[in-house]
Amino acid sequence: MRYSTVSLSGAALFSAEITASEQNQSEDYVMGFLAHNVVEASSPGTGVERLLKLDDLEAVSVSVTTQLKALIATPKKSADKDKLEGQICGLVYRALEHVPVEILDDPGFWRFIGIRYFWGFTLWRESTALAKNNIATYFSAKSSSESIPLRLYLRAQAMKDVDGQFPLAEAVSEGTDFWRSHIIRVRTGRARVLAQAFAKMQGSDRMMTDELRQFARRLNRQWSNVIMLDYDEKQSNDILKEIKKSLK
Amino acid sequence: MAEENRVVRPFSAPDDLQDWIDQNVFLELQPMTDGNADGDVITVAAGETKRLEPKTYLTADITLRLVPGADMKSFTSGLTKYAKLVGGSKDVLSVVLYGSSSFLKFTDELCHWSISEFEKSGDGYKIASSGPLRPRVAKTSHNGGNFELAVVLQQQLDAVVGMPWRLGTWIFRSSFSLGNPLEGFGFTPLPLTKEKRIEFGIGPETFKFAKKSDFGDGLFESETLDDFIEFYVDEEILARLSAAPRNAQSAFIQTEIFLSAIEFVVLEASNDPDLKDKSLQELSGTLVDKMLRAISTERVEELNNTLSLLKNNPQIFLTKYEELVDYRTRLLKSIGEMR
Repeated sequence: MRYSTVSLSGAALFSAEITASEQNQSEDYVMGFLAHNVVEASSPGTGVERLLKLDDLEAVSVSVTTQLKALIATPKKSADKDKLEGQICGLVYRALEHVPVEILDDPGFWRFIGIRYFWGFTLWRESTALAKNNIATYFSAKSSSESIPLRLYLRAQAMKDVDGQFPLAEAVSEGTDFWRSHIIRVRTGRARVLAQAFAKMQGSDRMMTDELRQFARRLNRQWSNVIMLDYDEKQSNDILKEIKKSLK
Repeated sequence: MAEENRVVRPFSAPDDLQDWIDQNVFLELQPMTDGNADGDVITVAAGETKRLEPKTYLTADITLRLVPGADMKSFTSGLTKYAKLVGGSKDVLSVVLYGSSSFLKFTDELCHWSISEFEKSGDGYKIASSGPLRPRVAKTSHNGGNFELAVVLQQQLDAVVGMPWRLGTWIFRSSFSLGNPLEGFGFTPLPLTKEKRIEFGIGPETFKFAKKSDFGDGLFESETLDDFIEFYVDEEILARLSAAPRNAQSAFIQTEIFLSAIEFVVLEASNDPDLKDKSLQELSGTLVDKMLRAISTERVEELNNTLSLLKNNPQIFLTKYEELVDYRTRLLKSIGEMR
């Protein structure tokens, strides 16, 4: 299967140019940039002739852009930007369900969709980094937990329930640190039921930063000796409660 | 000096059973073209990483094998004995094969055997065949994948000091890794902002600062640099590096940053009393394992020598990294551009 990628240096160039001038922060500029910087790749395991279609992702992108315009038009002082990630991550996951793993494993693919479909979302979501000339981190896809579309996909992957829904993806308000540091980056994110129990617990009985970090540290250490991938809801809740009790 | 609590293996288990897995189980890859064997068989021993071209990774038949003549019965009878000691029945232990990707953050259970079923699997277990029906881990050719065979406690038992009791506790395990020749360490410098300088208590002329991640894994559990450290670089310098990543001065500064991160890890490892007891096997798939393999061949003897170097002579270990990144050449090129 053929698909589009952007190189690491291409993503660095894009980041530099979109930071350098607000005039570059437009759909026209992005499409022009991609016209010169997309590298077509093919995955040998998936049939070389067909071109990967991303129509559903494009539709998600259009919907997100509409929501963003509304948010930008009525800015709130303490907007919970992570909330929108929770709302759209399931849509992004579904839009990419047909993409072969061989392609999902290519950071160049994530760089392409990050620029093509999520450039506006990225600039809004990481506006602090943009203001400090450090937006490249979010377009480079060097790290799974920083690339915006990939972290959305991974959040949904961890929160997908037995019915294929994502009801807990929005469970934790102002949860940037929670999702990035305590779910996506660590092994807990690979154990769906445990990760969902953790999100539910944090959503209903919120631990503040220091306590959460202590809690997460102890949970991470459990992984040194225990494989919790198959824990059911009760087993997950039991170990989470046990760790919470040990903090007191 | 800061103190922290650590989980250590809270029970003992027979070393000979771990040794049996390490010495008798391996991964076999048969490269295929159009459904036919094409090329020499590739083997991956426990604790080893084989770096494969994407085509081979995506199309090879992959089988978990036992070495010819391996005494399976001795292993399963040892396991049965241990299972009865721990939980009164051999059903308390299972043998499980996992496949995982650190980039796509998944771990899939590929096969689950009772002790009796495992005993009958002497001909090997076909993990992946050439074609579309491969497990996910056999498709992650860009970032590699890890196969892990583990003996796992299947029941929650009453807690007994010195015995495994928690559901999911692994008793023995071995891993076999497939990687991309270009697989990196996963390293993302973070901007050193005014706020961060205040938080860390460092001055305005500091160019870089590394600290252990507040919420990452321990050194010997981390899989990438990003899992273990937070490495900060002055925000303005970081922005300029992003804007011109390919000129010689940028390349040199990026090299310097990478070496500093490696030096930080080496220093942390040297100060960690657990390092002296760590084996290649225990480190398999971790950041430290990747650091060893970056400056060693895949030969177990050389890998062990490199591990010894890290344990006993970290300064020389660090020079291997300067060699790896052509440090002197990059420095000279950088000076050349400065003229």
